[in-house]
Amino acid sequence: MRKLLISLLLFYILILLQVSFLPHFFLFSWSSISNLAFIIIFLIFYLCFSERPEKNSGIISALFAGFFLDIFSGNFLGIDFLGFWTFILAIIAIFIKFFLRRYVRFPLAQ
Amino acid sequence: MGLPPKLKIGLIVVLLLAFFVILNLTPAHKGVKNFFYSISSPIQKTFWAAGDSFSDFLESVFQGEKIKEENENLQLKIQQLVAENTSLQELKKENEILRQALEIGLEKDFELSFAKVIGKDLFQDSFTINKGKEDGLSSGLPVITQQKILVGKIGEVYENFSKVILVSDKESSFDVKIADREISGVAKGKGGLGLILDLLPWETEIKEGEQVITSSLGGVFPGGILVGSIKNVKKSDVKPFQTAEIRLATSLKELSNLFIITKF
Repeated sequence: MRKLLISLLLFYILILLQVSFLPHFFLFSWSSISNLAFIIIFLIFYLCFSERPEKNSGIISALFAGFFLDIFSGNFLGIDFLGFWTFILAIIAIFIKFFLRRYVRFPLAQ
Repeated sequence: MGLPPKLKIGLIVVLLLAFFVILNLTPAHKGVKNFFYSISSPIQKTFWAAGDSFSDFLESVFQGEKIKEENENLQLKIQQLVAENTSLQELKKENEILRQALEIGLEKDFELSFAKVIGKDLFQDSFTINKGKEDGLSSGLPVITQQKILVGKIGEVYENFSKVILVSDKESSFDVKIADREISGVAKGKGGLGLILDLLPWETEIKEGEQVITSSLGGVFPGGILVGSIKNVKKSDVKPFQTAEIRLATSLKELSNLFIITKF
């Protein structure tokens, strides 16, 4: 539970950094969602792989991270739909959790 | 007794999709966003200010050299503009002088050449001007101001420069007359920017302030050019002529632009 709360807070702070701090720096602001979405996807991968199979914090984190991205990132590729990133990240997390992890083993997985 | 995992997942996805579709169809999604913006705004403001000052700092670090170069270029440009401005002011002044000369019709009376004073030797009563043999000047040509006041004549002539011997030079001597009266005399330089009027007929009454102009008698200068005015008339019973000092009509010390009469 603690790990989940920390990861949610981390996503929230990262997204706020993305929309309020990084736009000042030319290199870090290619687009509205920019590279942060990829960092978050990577973190979701990490969370999903690193947690125990019976835990669901990876999926919950993915849902909230996607939701935060939806709230703060505006439209992406012309799609203005609240829930777009929530879906994308949820599907990624579900895919890792229930399909990929069943067949692939990484050293970091517990 | 629960649903199979795959079905459970499918159900979650469908429910999520339905939730967001409904949320997007109603104005509620704006309320949700507004709620998150409100609670995040203090943090966002802090991040924004930090990002702003940090990026300014980085910019000043990375662009320092560029700013320095730009500053140097601007300084150079300022210097160029100042020089250009000075040159334009000079031209303006010259233009005004020429205009003034045109107004009094100098160009109708004589053929003139404009020159600038580039050096003064007031102890020797001479100027150096920026025109010389190449400009068609020759020794003996009269030099006047734009107000048609006599200054002197050309002395030595070099290729691009000339010496002007002022009327006050000790060697200077020329025929003059009192304006509007047929009283002639000879003006002689006494050095130190002074000029005296000699050989005035004894019997004539000369008043202070009367104007002295050149006479064409000696052929040194064309007639009718103002020299100055009478002051300190000296009349002695033992001398056949009376003398007077001439107050020059122009301040020779302050002259900077002159006209040379090349033909009269």
